[in-house]
Amino acid sequence: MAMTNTAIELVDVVKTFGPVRALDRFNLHVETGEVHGFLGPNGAGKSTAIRVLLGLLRHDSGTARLLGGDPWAHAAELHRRIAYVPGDVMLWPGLTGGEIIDLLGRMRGGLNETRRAELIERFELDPRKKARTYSKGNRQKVALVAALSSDAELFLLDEPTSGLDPLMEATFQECVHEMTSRGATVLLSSHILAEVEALCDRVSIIREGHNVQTGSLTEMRELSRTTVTAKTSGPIPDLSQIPGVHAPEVHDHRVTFDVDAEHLHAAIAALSAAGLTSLSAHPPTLEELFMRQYGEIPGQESA
Amino acid sequence: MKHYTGTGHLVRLILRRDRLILPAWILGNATMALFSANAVIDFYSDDRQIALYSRMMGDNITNLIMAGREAGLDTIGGIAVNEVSFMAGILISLMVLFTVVRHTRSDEEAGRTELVRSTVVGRHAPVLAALTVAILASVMTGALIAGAFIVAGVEAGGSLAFGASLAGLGVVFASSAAVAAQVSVTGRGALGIGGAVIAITFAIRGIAAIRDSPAVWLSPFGWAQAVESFGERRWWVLLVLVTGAALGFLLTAALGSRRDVGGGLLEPKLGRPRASGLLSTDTGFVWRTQRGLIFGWGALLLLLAALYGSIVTQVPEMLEQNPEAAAMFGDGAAGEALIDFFVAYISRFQASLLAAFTVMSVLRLRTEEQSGRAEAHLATAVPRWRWASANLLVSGLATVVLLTLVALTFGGVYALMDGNSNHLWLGLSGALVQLPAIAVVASGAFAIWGWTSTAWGWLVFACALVQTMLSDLLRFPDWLSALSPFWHTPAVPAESAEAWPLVILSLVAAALLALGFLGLRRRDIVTT
Repeated sequence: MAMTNTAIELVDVVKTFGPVRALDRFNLHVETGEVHGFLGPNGAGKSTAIRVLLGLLRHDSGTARLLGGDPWAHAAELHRRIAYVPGDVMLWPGLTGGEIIDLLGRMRGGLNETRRAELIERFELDPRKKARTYSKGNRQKVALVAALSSDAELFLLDEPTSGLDPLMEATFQECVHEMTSRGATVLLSSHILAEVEALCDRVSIIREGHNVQTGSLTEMRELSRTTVTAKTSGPIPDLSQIPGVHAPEVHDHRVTFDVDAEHLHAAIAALSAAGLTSLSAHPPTLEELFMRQYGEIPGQESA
Repeated sequence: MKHYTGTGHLVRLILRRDRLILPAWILGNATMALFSANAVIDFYSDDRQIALYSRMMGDNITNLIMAGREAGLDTIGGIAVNEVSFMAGILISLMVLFTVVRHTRSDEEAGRTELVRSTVVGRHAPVLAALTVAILASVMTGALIAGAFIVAGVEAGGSLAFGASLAGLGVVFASSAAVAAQVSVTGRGALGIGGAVIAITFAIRGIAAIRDSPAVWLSPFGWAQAVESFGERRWWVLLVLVTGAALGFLLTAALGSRRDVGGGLLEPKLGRPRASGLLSTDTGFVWRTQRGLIFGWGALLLLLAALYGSIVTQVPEMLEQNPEAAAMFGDGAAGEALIDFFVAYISRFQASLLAAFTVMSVLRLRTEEQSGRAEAHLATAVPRWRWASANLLVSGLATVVLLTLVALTFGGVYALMDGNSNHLWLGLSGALVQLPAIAVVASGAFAIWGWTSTAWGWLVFACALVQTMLSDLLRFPDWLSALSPFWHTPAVPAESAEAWPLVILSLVAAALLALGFLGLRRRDIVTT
């Protein structure tokens, strides 16, 4: 396989199910060695994109490359180098967790015995129980242990922690750090924004089948608005005249507003002129970014 | 009564959830009874034939095992009951077993009971609701079957008694299913226990009937039969059925009061923490996930084969009296050749039943796909073609082994009854020539799944089965029969085995397999 710096490349990928366009000219670019967050509301197409990457679904048009290969034509060979955790883990009810971990590991071409033992310990999983007796969280652990005990180059994780408790969530984050320190690449689809914020170098946001934004969190913050709260000794100037200022709310001598980065200077200058006595400004949290991208926050048009 | 609060709501919920399956059980059972009763009335039109029937069947071992020692075989009603009671009894027992377990332990295992019980619903309400529906369904089945008998022209009093005894049988097994649902913590386990109770009590009745022993009273099937609908007509025996069921209800309530939601008496065992070397191979994995299916079908088919083997010696006597029935086995079925024709007919019939196993085993691929487990499997380095061919290999090998065992069991039992060890091999060639036909049916199901990921392949099987069982009776034209692969296999040992139909069938099967792989390669894996 050719050496490449790109682990995942989806360009203008379209996938339809009957009349539904699950992916609509979707683009995704993941560099080797990064942890890439994959965000989007339910039904936005995250799992469809991952299944196209796994060669389970055949895309209608566009280009899909996974570790330099074609994920549809060379699915099985590529799967030796990747590990997958599905969002909704379905297991064989008559097999034990330990058997399933071995089975999936060996079908992938082998698993790391030391790490298998260590992960079972760390995730506090009883590998002797039949899968039909596991709770959702425990089924998720089986899939996680099976994936993480491989020496894969690329991990496709589809909401891998949706059933885990906070302690196990912390264990999972440690594991991701260990994987990346080995040089592995991770595509992490998640609704847990704190997890994405803690783990991801870059983030792609998908909505209704196409991506609305991609970039590092720093870039996204810089491109986005800052929330400012200020007090002045004089009357509050009319900030709505300044371009880039959104929805100023005035209470006596106190004002709160959002402002685009390039117009921050003008807004602060106007406040200074009115006798600035107190100022706090914070960049948007991932939560705010996320909500803006998903849109539909009353009083705020999406960026 | 606070433990029963909310039962009415739950009864409506069950009726809503089962609004298709319950009518299907009930109407299916009653329709079969109607057809059988009509056939009996048509066929046994005069006293000579009725007398012949009671002489033939009264001490026939197969009949005693299947239908017990029915009183009143010298009446048309008694004959109808003898013909219907096996199927009707098994169907009503399975209906209540599935209904009760589905709405008690399976719901509890899935966590739905927890949700329901968090509302204003008493501890015993779920099980009482399930029992109420099962009892209603039993009574309706009994009533419709009694009605079917009356419509067919059987005497009314006896028909009602027979319907009531069937309903009573349903109530008893509903009760035992409720107990099983308290004992096991899984729905499958409860079905296993409930099914074993039905099978064992059925066997007890059969064995006791052969010996004409009072041990029939150990089995609910014996109680139902002791009503003697067309014999003494003892209505009071219905009280035995009701009492037996009531004891089960009390036990259910006692166990249910003592256990936690989700708990039971039999906790699941722990398994191995590591996968064996066998499990890690493609075929070993398929074997592990299908061995229950293989053993279950194997047991059923071998039992049937033994039953058929046990009646071969009686075939000539049976058919000489009844040339119309003999014609069913093929042209020229008479005299010495009669047994060969019978063997060939049974071999083909057993092979077409085995095809149901093969189709089910092949379509496990679809179950894997629909459940989302195929996704986990195919996300590893196993390519689709290897995943599917491992399954096909296990399905195929299991079919060959089962077919051989079925043929040897059939021949072996015949050899034992006749005291001639050569008969052991009699059914083998007749069975093995059916393999290409089974392959065509199963490959057809595979090809349909390969392109569409559906189970419409069962239609292929259903058509083949209808042809095998009914084409002579319904006088299908040849072109219609020719659509079934079983029509093309030679009737060995009655005819000599011709090679070319087998070669052509094998080629068709191979082409269908290739077609299936082609479809599988091109389509999306169905995901949830």
